[in-house]
Amino acid sequence: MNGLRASVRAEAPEPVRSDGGPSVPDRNDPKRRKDPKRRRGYLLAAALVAPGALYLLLVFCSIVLLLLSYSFRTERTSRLFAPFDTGTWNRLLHDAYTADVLWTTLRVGATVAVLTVLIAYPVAWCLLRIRRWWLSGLLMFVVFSPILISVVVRSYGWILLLAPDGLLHGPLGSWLYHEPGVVLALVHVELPFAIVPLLGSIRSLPDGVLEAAADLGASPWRRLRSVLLPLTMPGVIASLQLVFALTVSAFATPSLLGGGRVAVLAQSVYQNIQQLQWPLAAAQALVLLGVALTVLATFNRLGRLADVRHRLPAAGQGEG
Amino acid sequence: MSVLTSRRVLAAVRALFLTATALFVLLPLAVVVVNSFRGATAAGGGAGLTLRWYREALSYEPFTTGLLYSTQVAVLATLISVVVGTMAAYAVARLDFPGREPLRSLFVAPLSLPRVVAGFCLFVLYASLFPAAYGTVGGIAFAHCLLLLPFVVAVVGAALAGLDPALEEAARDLGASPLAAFARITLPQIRPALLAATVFAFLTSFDEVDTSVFLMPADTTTLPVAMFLRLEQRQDPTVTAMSSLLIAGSLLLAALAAVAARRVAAALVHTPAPQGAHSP
Repeated sequence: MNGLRASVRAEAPEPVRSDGGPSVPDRNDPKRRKDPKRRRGYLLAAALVAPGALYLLLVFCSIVLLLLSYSFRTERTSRLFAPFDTGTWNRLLHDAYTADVLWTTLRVGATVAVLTVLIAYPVAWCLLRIRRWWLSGLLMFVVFSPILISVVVRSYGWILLLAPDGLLHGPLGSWLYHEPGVVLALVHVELPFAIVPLLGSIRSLPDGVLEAAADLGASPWRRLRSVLLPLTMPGVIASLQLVFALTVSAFATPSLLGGGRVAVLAQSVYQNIQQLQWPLAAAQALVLLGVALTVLATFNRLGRLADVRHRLPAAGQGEG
Repeated sequence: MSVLTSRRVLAAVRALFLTATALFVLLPLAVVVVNSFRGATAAGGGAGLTLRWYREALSYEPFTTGLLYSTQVAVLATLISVVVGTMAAYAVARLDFPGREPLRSLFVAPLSLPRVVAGFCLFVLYASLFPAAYGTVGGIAFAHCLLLLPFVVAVVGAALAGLDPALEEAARDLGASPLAAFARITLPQIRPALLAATVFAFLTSFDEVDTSVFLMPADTTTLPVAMFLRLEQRQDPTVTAMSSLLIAGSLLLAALAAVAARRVAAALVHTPAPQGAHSP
């Protein structure tokens, strides 16, 4: 039996499947489809994927259904089967406070995204360019170890620094419980996440393009503006996207550093739950979800537009 | 000459920038640790070192309960998501079946769901349909799987994509059952990735605030949420002590994982390596 299987294999060598690409043509071959071994393969795959996939589908479906149904109830209720009502949406869409919260959320998100990427870009560049292994290892540890530490702890560190008897109270006196403090702490929280896409993008820079530009007489500024930035723009956009999306939905840091004075969407959802305004919280959660998805979609689009590699034949070949 | 000086200036600027960044990253953590040993409360101005805050933190009821809950939740959520995620990643990476691409996107989809929204939705789900799940370790672990699964599937999937499937197929052809072939051929090769996924999943679940804050009552909740709620009320050195313990714990866990990963890597190097694998 096994010998038979082996000989069948030997006659029809399987292409190496690294990402599923090469094996696709086989799929439409009717002979292979009817192969019982193949069908057993499908069954095995279904059995392996089913728990995770069913779990995710269940959670997603219930999320959408519950949010939609709750947001169409009267404002103050915690019951799912309260009467249908559009008052919550009506209030949300015409309320100046909600518009203000949304605007603050987007403003903080954009500021944090830009500042974080401005710091992350040179850090990623240095991480790849430093030749002494212990120095780059140390830098790697310093930059990425905060990921392991709770956001609450890191936010508390900033509170201590900005507090009246803190180290930074002198220069940054009025930042605690105001928007700059929230932005500062969020930049700290998101910095490691911003570096990852940039590392990938800078690492895949075609060999020698910067040297070539220098040989052709381009100044450092020109090399940065016309060669480095355009080629790594997809990484920059991916990084902005990640930080923006994470910041827009951040909860703990804005709550602690804002001290209730800087209201963002995520925090507003939480407060409305505590005040038993579930429909309002549901509607706000839907707005937050909409904002997050819009951010992702917009930046995906931008990322595709900014990918100049396919327009550079020389770079494309150099990569191969 | 001028090239040399401009290089020196650049190097100096780089060193300055990196030092400033390192300070920016480490200062908030350092200040927490330093404050946890400080003798006086905030404005007091007294001096001296003390372990008083550590004693208080470890005898503060919500923190001790929280520590227990957080550990239980993290173990349970990590276990479930590593097993379920590895199964899914294996199927998506290795088996050829229709609908792989939609599944791949399904498993990364939770990344674009704001955690607060996930927490709120699960809270509403529990409160309106499964009241028994609210406030339980299982209920939170179930919610955390949503956050951990995409990560496990991505890390394990990447490791599987880098392997040569021919090795496992050879084991099958030589008569090994699918499970034996996976356990004896593929599993040892993806062990470093599994280890990384496990450690990161554990820490993510342990530190999670945004979803957990909705899923347990304020007096008995996970440790980070208990710390968050206490900080919302007032600043207090007890939290610095607990935070320092958490920092030490995270770093210790990461160091242990790094040592273990190196062991696994060394073991892999010394066993006959997969030869002549695939080049794209």
